[in-house]
Amino acid sequence: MRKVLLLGLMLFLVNAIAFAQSRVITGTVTSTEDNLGVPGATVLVKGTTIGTATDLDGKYSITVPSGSDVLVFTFVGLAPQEITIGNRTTIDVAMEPDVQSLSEFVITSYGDQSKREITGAISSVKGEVFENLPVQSFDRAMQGRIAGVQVTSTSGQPGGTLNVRIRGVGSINAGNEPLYIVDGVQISSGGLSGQGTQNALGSINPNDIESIEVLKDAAAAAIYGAQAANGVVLITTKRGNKGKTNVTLTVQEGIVQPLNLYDVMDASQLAGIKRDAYINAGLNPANAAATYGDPENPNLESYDWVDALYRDGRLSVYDLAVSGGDERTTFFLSGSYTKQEGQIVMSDYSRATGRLNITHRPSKKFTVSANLSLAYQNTNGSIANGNFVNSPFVAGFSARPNVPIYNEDGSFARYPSNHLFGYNIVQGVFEELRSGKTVQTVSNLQLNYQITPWLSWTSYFGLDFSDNADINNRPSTIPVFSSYGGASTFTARRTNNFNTNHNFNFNKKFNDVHTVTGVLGFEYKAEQSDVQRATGRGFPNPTLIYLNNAATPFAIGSSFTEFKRAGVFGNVKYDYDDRYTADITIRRDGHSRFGEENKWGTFYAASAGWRLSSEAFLQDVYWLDNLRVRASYGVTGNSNIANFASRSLVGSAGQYLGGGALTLSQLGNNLLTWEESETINIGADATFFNGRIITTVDFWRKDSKALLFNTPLPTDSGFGSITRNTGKVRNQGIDLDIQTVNVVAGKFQWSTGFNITFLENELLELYDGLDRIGNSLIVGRPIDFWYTNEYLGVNPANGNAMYDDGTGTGNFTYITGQNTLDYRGSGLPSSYGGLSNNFSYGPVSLEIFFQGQFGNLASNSDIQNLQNWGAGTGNLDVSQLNYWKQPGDITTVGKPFEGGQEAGTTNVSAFSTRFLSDGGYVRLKQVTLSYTLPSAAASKIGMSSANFFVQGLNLATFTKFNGIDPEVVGIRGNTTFGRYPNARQFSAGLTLNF
Amino acid sequence: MKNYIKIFALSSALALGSCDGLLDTEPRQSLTPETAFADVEGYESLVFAAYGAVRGFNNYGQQLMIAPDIMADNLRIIANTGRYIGQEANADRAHMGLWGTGHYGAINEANIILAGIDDVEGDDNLRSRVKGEAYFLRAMLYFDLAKIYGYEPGKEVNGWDKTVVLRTTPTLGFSDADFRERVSNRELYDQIESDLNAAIGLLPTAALGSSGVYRASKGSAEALLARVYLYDSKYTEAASMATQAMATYGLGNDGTGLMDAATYVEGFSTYPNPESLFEIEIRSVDWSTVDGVNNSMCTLTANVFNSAQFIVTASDELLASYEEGDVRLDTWTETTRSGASGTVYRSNKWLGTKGDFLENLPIIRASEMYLIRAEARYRSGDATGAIADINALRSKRGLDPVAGLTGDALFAQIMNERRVEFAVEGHRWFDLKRNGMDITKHGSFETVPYSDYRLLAPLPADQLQLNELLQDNPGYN
Repeated sequence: MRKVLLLGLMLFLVNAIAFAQSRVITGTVTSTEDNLGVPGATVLVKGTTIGTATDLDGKYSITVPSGSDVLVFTFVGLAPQEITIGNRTTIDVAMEPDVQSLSEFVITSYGDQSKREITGAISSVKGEVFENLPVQSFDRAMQGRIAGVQVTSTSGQPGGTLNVRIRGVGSINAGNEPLYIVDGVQISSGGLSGQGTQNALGSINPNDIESIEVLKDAAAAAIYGAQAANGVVLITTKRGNKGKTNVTLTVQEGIVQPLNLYDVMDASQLAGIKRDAYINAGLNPANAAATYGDPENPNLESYDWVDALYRDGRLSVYDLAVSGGDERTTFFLSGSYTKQEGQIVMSDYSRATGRLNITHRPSKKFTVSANLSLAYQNTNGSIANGNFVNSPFVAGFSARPNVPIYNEDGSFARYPSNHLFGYNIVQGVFEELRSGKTVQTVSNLQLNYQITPWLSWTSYFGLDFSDNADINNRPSTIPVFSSYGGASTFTARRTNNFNTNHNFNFNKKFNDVHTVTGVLGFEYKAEQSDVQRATGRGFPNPTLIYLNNAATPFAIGSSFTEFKRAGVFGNVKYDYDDRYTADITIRRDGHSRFGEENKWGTFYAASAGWRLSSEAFLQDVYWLDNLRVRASYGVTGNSNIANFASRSLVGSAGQYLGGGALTLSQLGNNLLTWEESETINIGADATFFNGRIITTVDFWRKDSKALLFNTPLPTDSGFGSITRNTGKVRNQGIDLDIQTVNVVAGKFQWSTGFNITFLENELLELYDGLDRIGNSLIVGRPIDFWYTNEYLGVNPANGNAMYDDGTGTGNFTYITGQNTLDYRGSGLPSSYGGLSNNFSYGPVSLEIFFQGQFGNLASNSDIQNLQNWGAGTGNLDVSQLNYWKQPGDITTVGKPFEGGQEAGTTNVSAFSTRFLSDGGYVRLKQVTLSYTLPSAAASKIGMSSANFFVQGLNLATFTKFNGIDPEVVGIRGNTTFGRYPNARQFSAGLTLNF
Repeated sequence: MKNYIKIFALSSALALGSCDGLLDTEPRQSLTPETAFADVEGYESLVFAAYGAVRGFNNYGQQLMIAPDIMADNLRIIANTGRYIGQEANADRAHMGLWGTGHYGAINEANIILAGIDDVEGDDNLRSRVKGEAYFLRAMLYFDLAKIYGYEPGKEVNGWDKTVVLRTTPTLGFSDADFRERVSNRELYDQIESDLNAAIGLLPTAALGSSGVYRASKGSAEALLARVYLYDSKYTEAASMATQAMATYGLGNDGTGLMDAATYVEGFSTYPNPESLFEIEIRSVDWSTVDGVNNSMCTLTANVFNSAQFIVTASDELLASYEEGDVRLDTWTETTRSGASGTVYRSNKWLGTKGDFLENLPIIRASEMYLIRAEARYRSGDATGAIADINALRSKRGLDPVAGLTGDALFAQIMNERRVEFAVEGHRWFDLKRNGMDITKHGSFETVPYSDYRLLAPLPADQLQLNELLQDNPGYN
């Protein structure tokens, strides 16, 4: 698969010199894996520098001088062979795959390198691992699969955005997202739509992906200098192989179900606690009955709002790929369609993708390749992530159970105006249109020219272009929007992100043992995006939504933003006899975001490796296949801030009396420059027992410094903060990855993959000797923690909430203040990882995959609504039924008090450890059972192979977290109101190859 | 091939030779301060932003209009939406808050204008006007802070005279944003009074009932200064400044110029209010689509629109303070509220008559000049003058004149006139506080003694942590 790509590199590794008296040997080099020719394999006359490379079909012809009788065949990824010529003139060689997976190639867009040579910390996951998983984007597919990489979501919306953190959280205000590079295109991550979360990485069909590599330390990432501080994720899509055209068809259908939803009260349960809340607050209980119903009334009707909003959705995935090629041209062509309904009614995601990856070689020296992709994503979103009355994740649970959802005629009933702003959430979800449609292409064109056998030139052009159109229609049938006749907002976003690099690659071997490879190049990247928005109000009929029908053009807006980045880079690798390696990278980048004086930064890294297993003293250790230690040090950059963050800006501030208002919206900082991340990595790779155990361990420390830090200003200056380069954050930890083949017994095989990362995060410095900023950042603590009141429980004497009084005496208080606040724990996990077990017996295989994280304290804001002890105006979690009723009652739920504001107490909704719980979890993420039709049977029905599978996602979760889904609490961020939880999915499908 | 090398050489040369040109970008919808503030019109755009801040929901758009009546005894909560529940009970830390970048940002806008407008080209009439507006707005913004965070001069409890941080020079860069202590109430009031005197000398006049009242004018600066003098216990100055303001607007000593009783209520649905001396205009584009139903004064105080929240009504104590025949009682209409027992009243001062909850914000009304002068005259020993002013107002509110009042009875009469005249306009808490009076409460809520720490708002916790020079008000743990 990679062989074609490698050909260019291999061609110049050899230098054929013909001798006068000699014989010519010809033959074909094939791979036992696919019985196809191996292009670019090296054929060398042993003991000489005479050699050649195989052509695209794997054929070679070599002139062997007299006196030489042995040919050496080598190809990276395949086991080398030495063949004695004897009297033969034709020698065909079938090469075996190398048992050591570490010889895989890693594509770094500026050139390829064997993983065996890499001295930085790189992890990868192959496309097969996540093939046919009904996840919409590849970042999700990395979850739990790669040591050092944490993937979490803030939303379970199908096709939604995710947070990916490589080796912790180093930046306080600048972005912590890694750099994503798809076939060399540096793409922008994040969201595309405003009407529901839509992942910018979702335009890449995961089934098109050959492999994902994650560059974790500076040595691996420094070649990307700028933006590499948070790590780099390289995505390589599939390419065609020369030979027979291969057609793969996958069809999959399944269902989507909600996870464990909150169990809320029925009407009489709520009416009961509300009556007591009124009585306890000295209010007339008749008013409670008027609002919530009479708890004594046996005929009190109850309406299930949750049931009206949640559903079992359907998911479908259809995928067709065709690949093949000939001597000069290979191609990979694919198309896919995915549709997934959300667990909330009206929420869904659909996507169609098309891809053509093509490589053409017009001459032996020149290669042109293009990867063209086009994707259409359509999200019908839900309002989520906030305490919004029109969010089903908030209002669905808190809507009053005594209020009917529908009128008798089936139309939507009016909801009382003194709760949820009078918003009937079921009506809102059904009638409000929240559509986000995006067309996106991530495409590139690459030209390679082999100048000499050891020197090549690459010109690369990459484009990430997206066009988003959002429609939000709020029809007049919803009472809140009726007063102005309904409203529609149309938003168009266009992002144009271009990168190009031009570089020399060289690769030369001296005296058979010294290999020098390297790259020298220039790169330029620019991104522009603009947004246009218009709102109209007053539609004559609620079915009309377009602005042509609006009576009043209400509001308009448009904006533009851009950045530019340029850099030069160089890298040299040296390898001595496959034993010692050294690698030096230097890069200089300039970014438009920084101050006039400080746009440019220099980034660099150095690393060294030693393959102990190639040394004589370890040659006799039969159980050790490979052992290598490596160390690296380097500095990479982060510029992940707003595009004009260094400038003083005068921006619009609305209008007054029709005159446009301007305000000084931002204080500039001319000295603003790159945030730096300094990484030390010490690692070891080892393979034991003929490949039965493959392990990688890395010890790392990443110091983020000169942080792009929004240092707070006294608000009486008129500004909240200014961005300065200051502060230092340390992340350090251990990444461990072990792959084992536990049992091989006849047709039965059991293998295990396990990875875990232990890490800690600490704020080392702020600025000007400050040791803390408010209660949000404290030197010596992690950068995300909980600083709040300690809840001590309900006082049995009076049913009030007790809090630690902060004097250290253990005494309690009812009134919280500055003195009762203290550090209560880290919001960042101390470890995370994944465990997969694969069992196979002949054609049947079973994968069981767990993923989890540990050690973070998580907040659940939902219970501020649902567990407010009856103080609020909405429905409650059934746990609230066990509330305090009389002195002496020992309960976990205190005295219901309307409004929660009893004299001499802090309001019952005051934040405290009551709302925190252990955010650690272990989740049975995936179980896949598959059956592969024996090839004889498959060929009978005209197929080269056929595979049937059933799988489940998010099947079980083990956690102490007090909310629905511990995964959506996010990595940083405080409000966890109304998060869209992940769903449980079951699906079945088949894959056919022709 | 050679072409590629040329391209590479060229790009490298570009990168290295003219690095910064390669990286030039432009924030197209923003300007640099140099471009934006190159002429007087640029500064006028800035003063528009400061006006905009005043309509914020944390400012006169909601909080300053409604919280002072809930925290005292004028309004009671009838729907628990979580809002103002703590304020009604005068709970610890449940107060008003203005100490943030929204309010101080507007002060900074005024400071930028005052520091730079004299150095640019432009029409001198407009220059004077914008400069006068900046003085006026800076004074008003500081005065609102002073009322919430500090005692009035001479009314200190235990000698605590700290008020807010005072800045009169602009923050244009990092070095300007230094940490400062709270100044004394005396120093702040002196600055406010000086700003208003400067504004009076610069601003044009505006006629009652004209759109001129949507911007600061000579008369509105005089009116605000009269109010400030009253808070500052400078009664002679307060009386004469009220007189000066009345003259500017053509308000007669007999009440000429005030609305007649017959048109009083509808005046609150007229834009501008016929009695407005200074009014903030709001347009629908100033609000997000849900601000009307979520945040407007109309939604909180009335139920004239679908889905209005209608969370407050007149307390029984307020209703009892209207005399029979007082047209001001007609600003309340009987209605019902689900979840609230019996009859409740919606306010007719905030009916959103501009459509969909939209209305303007009268900040200073003409009747206040009569009440300021009455109170100032009473404090100066001129009971006759005080009664004359009260009666001038009463004659326009459908009430008979009062007579023979002196001493505490006269003062109580003035306070009651203020209470009913300015209900739901954000005066009540401050009228009690500036006179050193206990905060009387409605229903079963307990009176807050004047000496109680809850008379002053707590400072924001993050600012106390950030700036060691700041001291919180006494009593907050």
